[in-house]
Amino acid sequence: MTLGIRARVVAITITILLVTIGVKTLISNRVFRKEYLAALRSEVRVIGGNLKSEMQRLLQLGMSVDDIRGFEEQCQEVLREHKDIAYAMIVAGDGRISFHNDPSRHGQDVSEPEILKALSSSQETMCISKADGETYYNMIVPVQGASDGIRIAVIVGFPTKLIDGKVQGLMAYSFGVAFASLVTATIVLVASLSASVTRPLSKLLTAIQEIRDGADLAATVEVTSRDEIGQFASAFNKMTQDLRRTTVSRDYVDSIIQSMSDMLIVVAPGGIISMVNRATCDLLGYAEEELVGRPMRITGEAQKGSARIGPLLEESIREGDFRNRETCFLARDGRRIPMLSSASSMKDKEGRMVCRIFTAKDIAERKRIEEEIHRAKEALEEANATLEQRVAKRTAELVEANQRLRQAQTDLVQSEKMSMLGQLVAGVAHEINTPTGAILNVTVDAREHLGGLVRSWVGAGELPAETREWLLDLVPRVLSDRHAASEASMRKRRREIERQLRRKGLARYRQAAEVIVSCGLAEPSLDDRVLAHLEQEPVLSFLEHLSALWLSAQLSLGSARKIARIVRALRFYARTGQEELVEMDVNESIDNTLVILQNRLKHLVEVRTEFGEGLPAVMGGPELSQVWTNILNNACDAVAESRSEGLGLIEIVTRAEDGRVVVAISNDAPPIPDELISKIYDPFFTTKPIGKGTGLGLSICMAVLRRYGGTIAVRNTPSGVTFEVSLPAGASLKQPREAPGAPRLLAPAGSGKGK
Amino acid sequence: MSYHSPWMWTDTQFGGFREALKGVDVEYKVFQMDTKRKSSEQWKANVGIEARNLIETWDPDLVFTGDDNAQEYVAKHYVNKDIPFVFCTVNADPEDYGFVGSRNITGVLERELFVQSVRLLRQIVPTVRKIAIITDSGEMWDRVMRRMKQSESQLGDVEIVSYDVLETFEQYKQKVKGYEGRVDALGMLGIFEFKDANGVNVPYQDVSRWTAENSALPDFTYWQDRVGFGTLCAVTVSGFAQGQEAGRIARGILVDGRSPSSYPMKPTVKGQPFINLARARKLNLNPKSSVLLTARVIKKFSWNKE
Repeated sequence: MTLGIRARVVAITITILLVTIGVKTLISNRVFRKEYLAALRSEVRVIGGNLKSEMQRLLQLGMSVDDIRGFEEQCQEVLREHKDIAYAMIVAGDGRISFHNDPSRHGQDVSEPEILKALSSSQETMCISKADGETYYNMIVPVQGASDGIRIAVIVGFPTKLIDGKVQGLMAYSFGVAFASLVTATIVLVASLSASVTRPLSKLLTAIQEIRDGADLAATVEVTSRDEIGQFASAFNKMTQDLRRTTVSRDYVDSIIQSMSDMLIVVAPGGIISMVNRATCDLLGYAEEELVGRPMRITGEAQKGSARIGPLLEESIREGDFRNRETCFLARDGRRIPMLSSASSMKDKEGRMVCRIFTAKDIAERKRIEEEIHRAKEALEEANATLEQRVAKRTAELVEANQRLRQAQTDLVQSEKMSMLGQLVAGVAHEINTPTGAILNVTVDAREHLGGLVRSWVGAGELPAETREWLLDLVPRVLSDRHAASEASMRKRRREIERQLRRKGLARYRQAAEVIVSCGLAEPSLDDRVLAHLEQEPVLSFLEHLSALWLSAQLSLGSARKIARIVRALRFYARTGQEELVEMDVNESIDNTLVILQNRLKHLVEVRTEFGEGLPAVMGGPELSQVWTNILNNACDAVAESRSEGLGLIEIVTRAEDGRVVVAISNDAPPIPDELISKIYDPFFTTKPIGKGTGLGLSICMAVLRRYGGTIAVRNTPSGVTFEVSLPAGASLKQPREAPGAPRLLAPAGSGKGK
Repeated sequence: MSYHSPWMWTDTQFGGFREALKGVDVEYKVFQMDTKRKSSEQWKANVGIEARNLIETWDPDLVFTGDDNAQEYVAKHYVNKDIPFVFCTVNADPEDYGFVGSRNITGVLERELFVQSVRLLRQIVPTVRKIAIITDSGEMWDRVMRRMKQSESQLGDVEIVSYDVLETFEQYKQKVKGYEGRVDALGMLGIFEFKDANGVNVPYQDVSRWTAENSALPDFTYWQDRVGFGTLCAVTVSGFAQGQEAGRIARGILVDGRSPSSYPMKPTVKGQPFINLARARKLNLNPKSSVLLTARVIKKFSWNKE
C-alpha cells in the first residue's frame, strides 16, 4: 500500500506527539508527586502548629492536660476544615492519647512504633506509619509549657494513598488533555495539509491530465499561496502560457475553422471533399456528413448535358490556385449563390499535393446592392436631364410667392393696425365725448351766469363809488389766467376764511368766504375796507357770477385743448402707406400713443414717463406708433393678468445713446419664462386666451423696426419686464433697410411668463 | 470624657479615637468630667460648665465626647451650632439629647450585648435556665433594662426572672445571697451607686469583690473591668472599637470635609468575650477549651495581682 503525503506527514506527527506526551507525563508525575508531598507536609505542619498554639494557650492558663476539657473539638475542627487529613490528636510522651478527633480513642495508646519513636524527639518530625492496612504520613509537633512537666505532642496524619490518588488523577487528566490535543492537532494538520498541499497538488495533476488528454493548453491552476506549492503552480501556469504561445492545438484550429464566416472546403486529390466547415453547411444547406466523402462537384453549378462538375473545380484543376474569383455555388435546394472564391493547394515536403483548399465568401447581398446602385444611377442620369428646367420653374414660383408674401405682410401690418385702431375707437370716442360734454355744460352755465353778472352790475349802480371802483379793479385779477386750485384745497381754505370772517363779525361770512376763494383773492387783502365791500349783497352776487364765468371759461378751454390733442394724435396714428421715411420725434410719437390709449391705460396702470430732453429725431413712419401701441398693450395685459386690484406701473424712459435713440418701456408684471422668451417674436405666438390676442403684435413690431433700422429686445428685471427699442438717430436713413435686425436679448434667459 | 483617667474604659475609647486619626496633625485637649467617682448632680453641672468654658475659649475644630454624662452636660448645649461633635459609648437614645436631625452632632451608640453575654455564660455553665438581674438606681439603667427586656425572646430556654433595682449595698448583699438556690445565675448592671450606712457610694470594685468571694452563683456583666474584679464573664462592648469608629467619623469631618449629619448614629456590633478563670475555679467550673480559646481569659482576681 502506498501512503500519500498527507497520511505520511500525519503519521509522523502523531508519533512525535505521542512520544512527547508520554515523556512529559512521566516527568510531570514525578515532579508533581514530590511537590505535592512537600505541599502536604507544609500544610500539616501549619495545622499541627495551630493545634500546638491552642494547646499551649490553654496550658499557659495554668491548666494541666488533664484539666483541659473538650479539646477533641479542636481536633475535629481540623478534620472538618481539611478533608485530606485522616486524624489529629494530642499524645503524651508515653504514647497515651489525651485528645483525638475520634473521642473513642481517648486514653488509648499509640501502637505504631514509628510514631512512638518520633515522640521522643523534641523537634518537629515527619514519619510514615501503617495502621489497618493503610500507610500514613504523620507530622509530630511537640508542645511545650505543660505545668506538670508531661511531654505532649500534636500528631496530624494523612494517608499516603492521597498522593497516589492525586497522581493518578493528574495522569488521567494529562492523558485526557493530551488525547484531545492530539485529535485537534491531527484534524488541524489534515485540514492544513489538504488546503495547502494535497488539494493544490490534486488540481495541478488534473490540469496536467487535461493538457495531456485534450491538448487544452488554456488550462491553468489557481495560485493560492506563496510557498513551494504556490511556486510550483506559478511555474505550471507559466509553462502552459509558454505552450500556448508556441503550440497550436487541434481544438484551437478546429474552433477557428468552425468559427469562420466564410466557406472552407478541403478536397482530396481525387476531388473528394474531406472536410467542410460550419459556414459551408449553413450556406449550402447540407449536413456535414452529406458533403464529406462526396465529390466536390456536387457543390458546383450543373452543366447541361454533362456530369455535375462545377466550373470551379474544373478551373481549379485546370488553372491551379486563384484568388477572389466570382463564381456560383449550388445549394442543396437548387439556389445559385454568388460567391467570391479562392483556391490553393497544400503540398507535402516532396511537393506532392496533399489537398486543395477552397474558401468562398457569400456576396449575394453585395450583388443585390450593386444592382440597386446601378438602377439608381440610371434613374439619376434621367433626372439630371430635366433638373434645370424644373429649377427655373420653381424659382419663378418662389419669386411670385415672395411678392405675394411681402404684400401679405404689408396688408397684415395694416390690418393689425386697423384692428388696433378699431379697438381704440370706442376709447377715443369716450375721451372726446367727455370734454365735449363738459364744454356743453359749462357753456349753459356761462350763459346763466352772464345774465346774473349783468343784473348784478346794473344793481351795483346803487353801490358807493369806492365799492364800484374796487370791483372794477378786481375784475381783471379774477379773470386772469390763474391756476384753478383743487377742490380739496379750496374747501380747506374756504373753512379757514369762514372762521376768520366769523370772528370779525361778518354777517354773510359763509357766502363771502365762497366768493373770496373762487375769485382767488389773497388773504392779506382782507382788511376791514374789503370786508365792508363784501358786506354788500350786490358785491357778493357780482363776484359770484364773475368767478363762475371764469371757471366755465377755464373748463371749456381745457376740454377744447384735450379734444385738439386727441384729434392730432389720431391723425398722427392713422397715417398709412408712407414708403418714404421722415424725421420723427420719438417723445411726441410716444405721447400721442399714450393719448390714444389713455382710456384703457388709466383703469389698469399708472404711466410714468421720463422723456429725454433734446433727443435727436429718428427716421421712421407712421407704423412707429403701432410699435408703442403693441408694447404698451402687451404690458397692460400682463399687468392686469397679474393683479387682482390696484394699479400696475408702466415706466417709459427715452434717451440718446451712441448715435441711437433708445426707448425703454418697463412694467411690473411677472418675468417672462425662459422657455418663452425666444418665441415671443414668432408670428401668431401668444399666451393670451383664445380670441383675445392675435399673436402678431411683437412680430409686427420687429418687422416695422427692421424697416427703420431699429431693434427690439426684452429682458427680465428684478421688478418686472423691460422692452427696449433702439432706433438710429439722425436723417441718414432715407430708405427702409432690407437687412434683418435680429432681436437682442439683453439679459440671459430669466424666469417670467406672459407676453 | 464623662469619667476619669486612668481607667481602662475611658482610656481605651480615647486610644481608639487617636488610632483612627493617626497621621493627622491633631492637637488634643482632654477634659475628664470624673462623674463615675463623683456622681452628684451639682458636680455634674459644674464640670459641664467647665467643659463648655474650655470649648468656648479654646474654640476647637471638633469635640469628641465619651459616655452619656458628656452628652447631657456638654454636647446637648451645642446642637445645631458650628462646632462639630462626635460621641461614642452613649447608652441613651440620642433623641434624649436632641441629636436626631442635628447638623453638627453624630457618633457611635453603645448597646449592651445582652444576648451574647447570656450565651457565653451558658457555654461555661450549660445548666443555667433562670437569671436574675440586679442593678443600682442610676438613671441610665432604666433604658438598658428596657432594651434587655425587648431582647429576652432571643434567649431561648433561659428566663429572666426579675430585674431588681437596689439602693444600698446591704440590700445588694441580701439579694445576692437570697437568690442562691432560687436562680441559676445573676446579671450585674450598675453597681456604682450602692450606698453604705453613711449614704456614700460603695466603690464598685468592693461590690464586685464581695460578690466574687461570697456568691455561689455564676454571673455576667457587660464591662471588661468588672470581669477583672470578679464577675465570671462578659461580652463587652469594646471601648477601643467605639472610640475608633468615632475617630473614623471625626477623620471624615476634619480631613474629607464631610458633614456630621451625613453619618448615621448607630452602635458597634462586635463584642469581646471575657472570662474570669479564677472565678470559674472558685465556682468549680471548668470551661471547655473551645470557650477559653475564643475568649480573653483573666486568670486571677485583680486584687491578687502583684
